[in-house]
Amino acid sequence: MMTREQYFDSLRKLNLKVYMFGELVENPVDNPVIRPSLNSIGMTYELANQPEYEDLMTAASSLNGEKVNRFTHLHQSTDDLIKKVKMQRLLGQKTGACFQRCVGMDANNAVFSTTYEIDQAHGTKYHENFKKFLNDVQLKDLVVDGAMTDPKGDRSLAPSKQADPDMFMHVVERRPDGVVVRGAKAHQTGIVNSHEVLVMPTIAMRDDDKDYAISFSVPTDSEGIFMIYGRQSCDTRKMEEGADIDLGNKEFGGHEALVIFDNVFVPNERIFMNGEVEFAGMMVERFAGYHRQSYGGCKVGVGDVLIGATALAAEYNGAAKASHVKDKLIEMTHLNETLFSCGIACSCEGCPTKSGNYMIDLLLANVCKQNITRFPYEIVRLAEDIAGGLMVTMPSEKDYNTAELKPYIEKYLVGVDGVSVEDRMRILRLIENISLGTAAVGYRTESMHGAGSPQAQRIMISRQSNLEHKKVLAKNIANIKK
Amino acid sequence: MILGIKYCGGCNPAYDRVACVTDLKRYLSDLEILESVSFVPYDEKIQFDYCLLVRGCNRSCVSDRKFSNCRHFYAASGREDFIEIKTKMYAQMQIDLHAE
Repeated sequence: MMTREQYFDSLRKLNLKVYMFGELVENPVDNPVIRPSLNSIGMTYELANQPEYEDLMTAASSLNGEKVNRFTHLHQSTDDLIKKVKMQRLLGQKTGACFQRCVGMDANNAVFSTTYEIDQAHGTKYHENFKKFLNDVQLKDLVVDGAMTDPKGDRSLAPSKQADPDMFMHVVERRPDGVVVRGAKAHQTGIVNSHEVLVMPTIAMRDDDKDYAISFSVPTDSEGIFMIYGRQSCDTRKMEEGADIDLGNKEFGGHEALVIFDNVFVPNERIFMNGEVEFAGMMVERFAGYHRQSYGGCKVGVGDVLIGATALAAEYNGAAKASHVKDKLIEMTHLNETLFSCGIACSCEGCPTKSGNYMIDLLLANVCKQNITRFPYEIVRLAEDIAGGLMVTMPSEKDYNTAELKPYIEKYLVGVDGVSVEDRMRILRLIENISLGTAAVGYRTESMHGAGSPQAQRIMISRQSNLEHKKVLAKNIANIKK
Repeated sequence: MILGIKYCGGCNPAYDRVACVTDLKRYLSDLEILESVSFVPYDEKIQFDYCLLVRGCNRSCVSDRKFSNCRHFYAASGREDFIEIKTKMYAQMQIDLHAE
């Protein structure tokens, strides 16, 4: 396994093409806007090398027997699925942000089982291709960006019916040694910090969509790939000098980017699906299922940080003993632990796929994610309630450090005796960061739309709900014969 | 004498596990026994004189059934468990040292 520093060095060797604020970024690794997101992934390496966390952070590989980072592991049991969720909670606690590596882990597990079943049906060699790829990922301890979401253009039209065929990733040229693809993937979490991108189709497809039923992996610095970095609320605070307090979370963050594939060559040995339209839906459903489970871990860890920050904010201004404050903290904890319960439950109810790796219970994973679309918003509302308006109205760190202003800020922003104004400002800025700053991308809107928007879960819940069985139960008890 | 330490994954610990282990080492050091003991990460392929399983809470994410390769086994699920572990471990180490 790599150390954190080795991981950073490995990224320096990539020749990534990243644009931000209209310019090509010369050195993404040391860019102040990008760096916090890199530090978050760095934590997945750091903890894996610490004995007090290795039980969650590492696993014995099913492919090569080596000790590997769990983020590259294929789940071999329900215990592995449970440990995955607990690992994600741990990382959320340690970073207070999105640590980006889950999407590759979820894609790996989905592609592994789907390629096995494609090969069974079609006699193809995708599963062997994928195993070779993943073995390499495990042994080199690489970060994989799982890329699913296409821009989709007119949502009422199938991929092959779009006015612009590039609205969905598709094959534009077939060669003896591979294919050339064109399209884009939106909202790509962690792509700038990834070594490889693992592309999957974004929806179930029909016969007309054969060119769009494509799954493959390529290095992120492949010819033809470039990224446009996503803006985040308050992002340029990271470029300001003397704004450590204002950042709320100076060290860690997350990122997303729009990734363009402008005629990218994919060699045959890196293709995992190529026209088998009937399996596109399976791959999407499995990836989405795993990723909906993931949120029952990562968001809970960030929630832990937010609850802690809120409790401190109450202590710092002397409101901690008020009964309504205590009750609101209990409600935040109740909501957060309910999310964790869903993540654990869908893991406990997991089962093996035909390929041998384990899949979560789809109904419970979708219930998990449906709650995620709601509860973090309520947790944030309660955090803002307790924190008070100061979290968005207080002066900047520069003002605080200006000689003629500091005495007034010290005088008027003081809370309880024994707590410095600076500490009070720091905790309020952390709440701001998670509630509506850079980390809110991960904690709020990603909770709504990441791993599929709320309606996507409701469709899955409807499909999995076994309503007919429930009707029979009711008829039996009501003594209805027909 | 070799002491193998196994931590649970630490997803939501109810106390500072590493601080408690550090405190245990300090305790053994004060009693001038620490230099006779090597603290190493637990490995199921190694035979240990003592093993210490440090769980962060009451859940059994790491089962204590794993530790058949340990002559003396101790498990903690909370800070208070270390009080008993310290005295028991020290007493056992004294016996083992004199036996040598």
